[in-house]
Amino acid sequence: MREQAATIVTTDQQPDPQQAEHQEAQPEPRDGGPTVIDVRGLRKSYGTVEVLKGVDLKVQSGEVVCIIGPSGSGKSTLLRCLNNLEDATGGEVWVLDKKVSGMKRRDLMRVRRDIGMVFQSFNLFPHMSALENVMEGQVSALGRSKQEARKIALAALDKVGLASHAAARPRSLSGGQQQRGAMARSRAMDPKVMLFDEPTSALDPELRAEVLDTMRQLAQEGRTMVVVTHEMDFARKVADRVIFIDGGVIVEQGDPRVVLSHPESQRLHRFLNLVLWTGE
Amino acid sequence: MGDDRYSFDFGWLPDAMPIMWRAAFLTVQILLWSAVLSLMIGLVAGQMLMSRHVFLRVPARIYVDFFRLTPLLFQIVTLFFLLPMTTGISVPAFTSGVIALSLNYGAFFAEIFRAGVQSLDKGQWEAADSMGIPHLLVLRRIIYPQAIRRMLPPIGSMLVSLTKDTSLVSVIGVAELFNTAQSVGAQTFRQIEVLLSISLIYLAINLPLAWYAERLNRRVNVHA
Repeated sequence: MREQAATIVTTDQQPDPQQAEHQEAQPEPRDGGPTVIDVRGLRKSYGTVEVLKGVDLKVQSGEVVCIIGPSGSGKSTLLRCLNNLEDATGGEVWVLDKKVSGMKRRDLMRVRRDIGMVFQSFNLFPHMSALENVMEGQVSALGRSKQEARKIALAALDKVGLASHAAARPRSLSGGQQQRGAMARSRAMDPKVMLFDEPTSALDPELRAEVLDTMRQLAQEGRTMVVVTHEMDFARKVADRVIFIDGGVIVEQGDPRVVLSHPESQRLHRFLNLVLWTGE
Repeated sequence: MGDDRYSFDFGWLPDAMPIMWRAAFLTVQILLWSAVLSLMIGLVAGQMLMSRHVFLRVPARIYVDFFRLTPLLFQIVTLFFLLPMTTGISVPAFTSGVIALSLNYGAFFAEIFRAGVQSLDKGQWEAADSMGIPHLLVLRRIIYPQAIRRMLPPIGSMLVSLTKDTSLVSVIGVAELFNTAQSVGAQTFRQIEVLLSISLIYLAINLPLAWYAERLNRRVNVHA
């Protein structure tokens, strides 16, 4: 029923090193397009606490993947391992055919330019205007000229409905506007993958729609997106695949319409009940 | 009774004026050199304190702790004797004094810079790093412009303190204000008058500095 479940498995074991070696040599393109993210047996511990206990995950170009799960399940940690904001303690993380886990800082800097990230707390630069925020990475990381960066930034701000706020400091923007600005900032870098770490969790309910709308737009552009979220409705309507993480492992995954309506595992069943009970 | 009262006499003042001005100028020179050097040392050492590399972090920590936790007067005197002994060249007292002051204040500035940078929200680093901005540009464009507002008040009060501590280099014979005041006092037998006079010069330097630091302090608090 779920074809992907066969190839994308969760293991509690370290992958066979020889097999991993073989896979490194030739990342196999799959039907959905080239593999953009390839996580193999990922483990992450903080001291004696193991947060991720062997996660395997492949994401293809153009795919929108939503990661759901209870708090403390490791879903944000998994996302942060994808651009090495957290480094793996075991297993491997490959993004855009480069081994991101254990990568040297200098190389990491280059790969990260192709991996956008949107944070729960927006993290706009408070001493810069919205426009300068969107220009900064383009100039400082990509080396674009100021004129070019400004042009792209204005277009990006326009796309998220912030054209009239280009000169505003983040402090004077609403949470929803700040998050849309942060998405414009990330999008202006033209990343090959975009990571979203609970982008609506810090927002008041009435501001969430505008942010989700912006994300839907990005999905429609055919962008590869990995979204950690509690927004079940968004997952159902926008995601190509939903992944349920609990206790540091992928418990269940597949087509959101199937997985979210007819969960196989007891744990996802219970989680969905809880989420629906609290009114999403 | 009236005859026992000490009567102040500033008659020596006109004659001593040129030498006093020269001394004041020297004090300002010590202050400026030490301020610039110590801020530079503090910037580098503060950055080293935050380094991921042990071979940068540990030496910086040893330097900072040593100079913060031993007396400045001891450092000034010791360095004055130590420098010629170790380098083999004779170092002028002025230079030696400036180096001692710079090393001492550099240690304090290092801690101020470190605290200012580390007080910033971790998300600022993460946002900048996740875009692949080079480390030095992250510091220059994103971290320091924000952190500097928090650093300015403590830097201001350290500079006020530095002005006062320039007087300590008098012990190694630099003819700055305090040293000169003592010799003028000895010659004119008007120690108290001379000392009171130079207090006005210290105040003239420090009052604007303190006033400006206080203003910055208030502005930062409003915006915080």
